[in-house]
Amino acid sequence: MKVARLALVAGALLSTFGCAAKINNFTVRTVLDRATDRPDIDRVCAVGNSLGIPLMSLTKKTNYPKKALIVAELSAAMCAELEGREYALEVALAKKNLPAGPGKIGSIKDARTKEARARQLAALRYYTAFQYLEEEWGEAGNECPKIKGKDEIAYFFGLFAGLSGTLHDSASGRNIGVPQATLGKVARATECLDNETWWNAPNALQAAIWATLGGEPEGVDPWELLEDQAKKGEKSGVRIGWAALSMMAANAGKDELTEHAIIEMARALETKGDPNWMALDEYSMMIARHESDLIWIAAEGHRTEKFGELPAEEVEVPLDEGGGDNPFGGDDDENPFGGDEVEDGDGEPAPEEE
Amino acid sequence: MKTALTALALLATLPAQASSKLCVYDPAGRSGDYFAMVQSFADEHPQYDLEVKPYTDEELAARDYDAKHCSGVMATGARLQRFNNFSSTLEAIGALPEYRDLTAMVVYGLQDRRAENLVKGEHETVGFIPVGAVYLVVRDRNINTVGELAGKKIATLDFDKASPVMVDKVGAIGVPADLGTLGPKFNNGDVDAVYVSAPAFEPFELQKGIGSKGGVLKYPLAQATLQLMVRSSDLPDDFGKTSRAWFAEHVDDGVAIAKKAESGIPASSWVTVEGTEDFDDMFIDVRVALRNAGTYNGTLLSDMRKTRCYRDKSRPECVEKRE
Repeated sequence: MKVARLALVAGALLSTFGCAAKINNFTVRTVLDRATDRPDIDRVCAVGNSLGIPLMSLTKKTNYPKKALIVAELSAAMCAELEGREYALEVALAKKNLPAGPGKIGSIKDARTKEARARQLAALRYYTAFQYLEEEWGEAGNECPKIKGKDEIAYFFGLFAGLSGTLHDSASGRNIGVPQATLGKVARATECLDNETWWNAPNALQAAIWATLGGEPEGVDPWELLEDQAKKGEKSGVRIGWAALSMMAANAGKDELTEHAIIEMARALETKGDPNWMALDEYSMMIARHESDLIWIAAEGHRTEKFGELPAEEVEVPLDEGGGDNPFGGDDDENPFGGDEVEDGDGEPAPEEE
Repeated sequence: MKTALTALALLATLPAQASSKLCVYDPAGRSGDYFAMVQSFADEHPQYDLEVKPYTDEELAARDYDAKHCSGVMATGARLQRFNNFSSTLEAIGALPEYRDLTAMVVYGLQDRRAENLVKGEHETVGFIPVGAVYLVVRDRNINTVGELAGKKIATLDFDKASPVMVDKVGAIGVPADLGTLGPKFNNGDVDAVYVSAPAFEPFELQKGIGSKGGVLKYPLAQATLQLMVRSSDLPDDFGKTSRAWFAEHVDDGVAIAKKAESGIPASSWVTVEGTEDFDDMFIDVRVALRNAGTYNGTLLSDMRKTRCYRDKSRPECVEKRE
């Protein structure tokens, strides 16, 4: 019985051995389809982590199943990216919560180092995915290649990997050496995909790159375009646009826009996502939630309590208005907050609270 | 009781002593190398309680600083010239032909001995990061002498006060551009030349405009720097000295980033400049004109001339001493 089982597995492997097309089809159509049905990024990245090398081992080096490998490398990159983001939160927590002193400095530096290492690994994997795209379809950003409908998702993932690889390499000291020209290539190549089929994400990525690098057509505001694509894309049930806006706005220090994107993402999530792409929607939420966590930690010292809510603004008390004495400078009898009624600075009783 | 609780709540939400915000321009924003350097400085000096905020729009960073939304700003010297033209003069045309000239200035020339010049009114320059030598990138590699620049269209950045004078001096035509349009204008052939430092080369895909006929003139026009400036009254008295010393210690990090980017430019694209003396003469004329116009600071020009002459005393300017 055991021998029979082994023979069966060997037979299955042999049936795909040497046939990159079959592996591509199986991975891009079947594995990806099943893997993205549930909002479980951990499992998706675990599949990518374990699948990459076996996939490469089934064919000759000259005939890798490149489309399958784009998917595998991208999902493996997500593991490293999420780990890096976790360390980024560790940095923020140390900055906010640890008492001043050498221990604090050491903790911050150590967490930053861990973050950089994880991001470097993410950059390597993302960029490898992008390289497979270029091996399969030629240099990105030139003339659009012929892409079969079922392969478009692999092309989109490859472009997304190009953008992500550049950003993570940049954020980790450029040790992988992802060419900076990748951003421009990706921005142009997004036009090779049907925008509405892919959740308005191609135009959102293009706008995100223009917002960082420039190069947008005259009269186009890339930030407005990015928000517009995020709004339009949310109806598809895959909210990548809001994730991209939150991340790029935070990267550019646009605090209000970052907060807006987080709130909009949370609002959009009240509507059920596309059941076929739950994992991708989950990943998008995690990107926006990371930005939310950074805001929460800076303000309150802990992560987001409820996604979509932001820390309460500090209320500034106008101490020098009204011409009266400083209520905190005198003795208790004069403290206007100590009595039964709150008065305005003019001495008139405050209107009754409803 | 209710009002007492309200009062307590108000007291609890009274703002704590605010941290000092540094508004830091880095073209790559929060992911950028230069932002990371300022972040490292802040990490290592918790006593100053610094908040480092990224900007990808340099003018916005400068405006927010001007409007007192931040205690400090990091931007290019050219952008900060309006606050202190002594420190921005470090980027003077042709003043620091080699990286060792620049590092000598940052490590020795711009520390305590010139501390007074680094303060102008409420503004104090407290750190310098090299972002690379600025090179002229041309669509036709035959444009490799001062004479060849006459009549050519050169993209000039709107906030850069110095380059229009140089463009005028060589008889070229300035075409206004900003960082977003610089690359497309060059690559589409709208201009014959642009001037950039190497880290901008790849993101703008300038190799497309260079093609097989163009190139990068291997003679620096200037040294671009990011400069950290603070409003002195917002920070402790020792901040400037500590900060300048820290950034001087890390000056090689900025140079390393620039050199790495330079090594990424294909060897075949570099163009050797014939007659560098003509460029040097033109540079001196432009610097002196800009000094007389009040754009450049004479004291720093003089310091930089001494630095060049310390390295190579055979330069004619070491006798002429026009600066």
